[in-house]
Amino acid sequence: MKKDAKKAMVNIFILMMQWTIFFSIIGLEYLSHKRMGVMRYLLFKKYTYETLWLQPYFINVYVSVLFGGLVICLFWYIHRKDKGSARRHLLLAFIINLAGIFFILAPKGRNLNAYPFFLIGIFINLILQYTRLWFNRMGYK
Amino acid sequence: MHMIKKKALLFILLLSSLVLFAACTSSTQEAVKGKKDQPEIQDISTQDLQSKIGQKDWVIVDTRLNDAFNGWALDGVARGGRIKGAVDFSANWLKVEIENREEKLQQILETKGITPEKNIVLYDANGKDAVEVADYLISKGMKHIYKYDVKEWAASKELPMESYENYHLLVPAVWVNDLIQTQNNGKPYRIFEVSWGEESQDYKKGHIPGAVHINTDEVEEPPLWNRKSPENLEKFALLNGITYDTTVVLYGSDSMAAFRVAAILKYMGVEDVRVLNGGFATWVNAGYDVETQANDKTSVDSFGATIPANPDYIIDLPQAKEILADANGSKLVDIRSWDEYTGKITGYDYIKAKGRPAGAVWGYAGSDPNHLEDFRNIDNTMRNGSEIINMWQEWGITPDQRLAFYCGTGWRAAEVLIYADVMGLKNISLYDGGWYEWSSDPANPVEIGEPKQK
Repeated sequence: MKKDAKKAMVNIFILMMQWTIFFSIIGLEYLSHKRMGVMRYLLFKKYTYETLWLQPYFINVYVSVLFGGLVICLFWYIHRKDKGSARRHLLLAFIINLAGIFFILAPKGRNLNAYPFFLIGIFINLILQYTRLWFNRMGYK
Repeated sequence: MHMIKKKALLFILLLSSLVLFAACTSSTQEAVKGKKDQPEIQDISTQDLQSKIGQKDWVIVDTRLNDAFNGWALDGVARGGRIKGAVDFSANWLKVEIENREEKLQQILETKGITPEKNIVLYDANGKDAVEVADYLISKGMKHIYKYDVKEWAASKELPMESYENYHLLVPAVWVNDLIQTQNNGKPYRIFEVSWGEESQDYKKGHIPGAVHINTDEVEEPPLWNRKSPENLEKFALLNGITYDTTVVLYGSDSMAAFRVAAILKYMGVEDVRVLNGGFATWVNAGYDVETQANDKTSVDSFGATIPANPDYIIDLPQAKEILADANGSKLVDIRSWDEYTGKITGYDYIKAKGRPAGAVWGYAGSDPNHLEDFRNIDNTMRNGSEIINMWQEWGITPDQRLAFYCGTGWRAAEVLIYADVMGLKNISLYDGGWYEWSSDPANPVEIGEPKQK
């Protein structure tokens, strides 16, 4: 019982963090259309990052990492017959990987003012999701 | 017994009436005495006024709208402009709703030399402004106050009046209203509300009838927020129905954006660019109609001239370096706050570097990147040109020099450029890249801290 309660609390905490990150970035993008200072700051960051970790080589690395994660999650989901929350978290990890790939490859994605922050958000959410998976002891009872 | 009571009552009544009468008489006398103690506002003749000009113990004060002071012939005067040597203290400033208004007005009085020991001549053209200002000055302890109808002065051509060479660049609300009513006598004109953003809340709340919104992103672009290329500026002009001979009126809730676009339009070659002096508040305070329905842009096929027709109006990095190299004949003038100029802060979230181009001189600005108090009156109209020139002379900036104004990304500097243009300064320009461009290249020399000398 105690273990279940602890598990539930951690899951809720991680879920809240994921949603907070997601909505914060959405909010930042929204504000960039309402406040000139926000827009210019985001564009400044975008231009700075484009010379650093948003170069085409790194983009290919990110897509590869996401694709690898996608394949592993899909394999595990099909291969494992476990039921319950762990399998659910695995599916969610799969979806986040897929969404990340679509976002990076979509031409209109780069037009977003908060584009670098969306990328950062996707990877942070993915790490949090993997943490949830591990915590829920994927494959263990 | 009954009789005694009656008599006592009558006596009390009589005594009360006497006391009341005495009290009333006393307060009336005090009121009359108080009024007698208040300084009298005397009239002054044209001849007397003429003899007082230039005398140190006299100050001549223009109480009219800033536009009249600048040069516009308003309220039926025969000639526009101000009496030569007059300072400005507009009655309009007494109605502005701002924080610390009294403190600011007091500072203004001191700056303009309107002090209790002086003889103060207040003039107007409508018979009201001078009285309003007089009442205010009396409440501040001024005693020697005269009033004068400037229509008399303006009617005599031999009496000296002055106005800014290009006062017509800044227009009063009445001029814009006349433009709309007469449809500019058939000549093309456009009125634009200028602010950042595809949708403007200010525009939606209410705008000058017929006005169309311009988003400043239509004329400038990242990463440095410089003006767009001539080809893209032409597209902007065509989309907004602007040709080289269109009369273009620009305004905003805050005028800085309007001045930015005005500078770019003049650079492009639009011959008749006007900015509403004091912004949208001027239109509202004048009581003119406001509409909320959005107006569509109407395009044209051709601009009618090669862009840019005035390439020297806005300059870039190489010309800015030339100016710095010519220390005596030219000045690169920093229109940012003192803290930005000295490198205490950058002033912007997206500009990391602090400091200034080595050799740039401070030209005043305001408290932060969004304000320009040193160049505006409290009703956001243009500050007295003489005061601007005096501020600059402290820093070795003189009207005969080649002056290039810059700030972070060109907004504050554009407003000051237009004011310099209004005053008739000749060799002036806007350094578009500003501190953002200069600081982007580590090879450009930079200074930090207070300058060693002015």
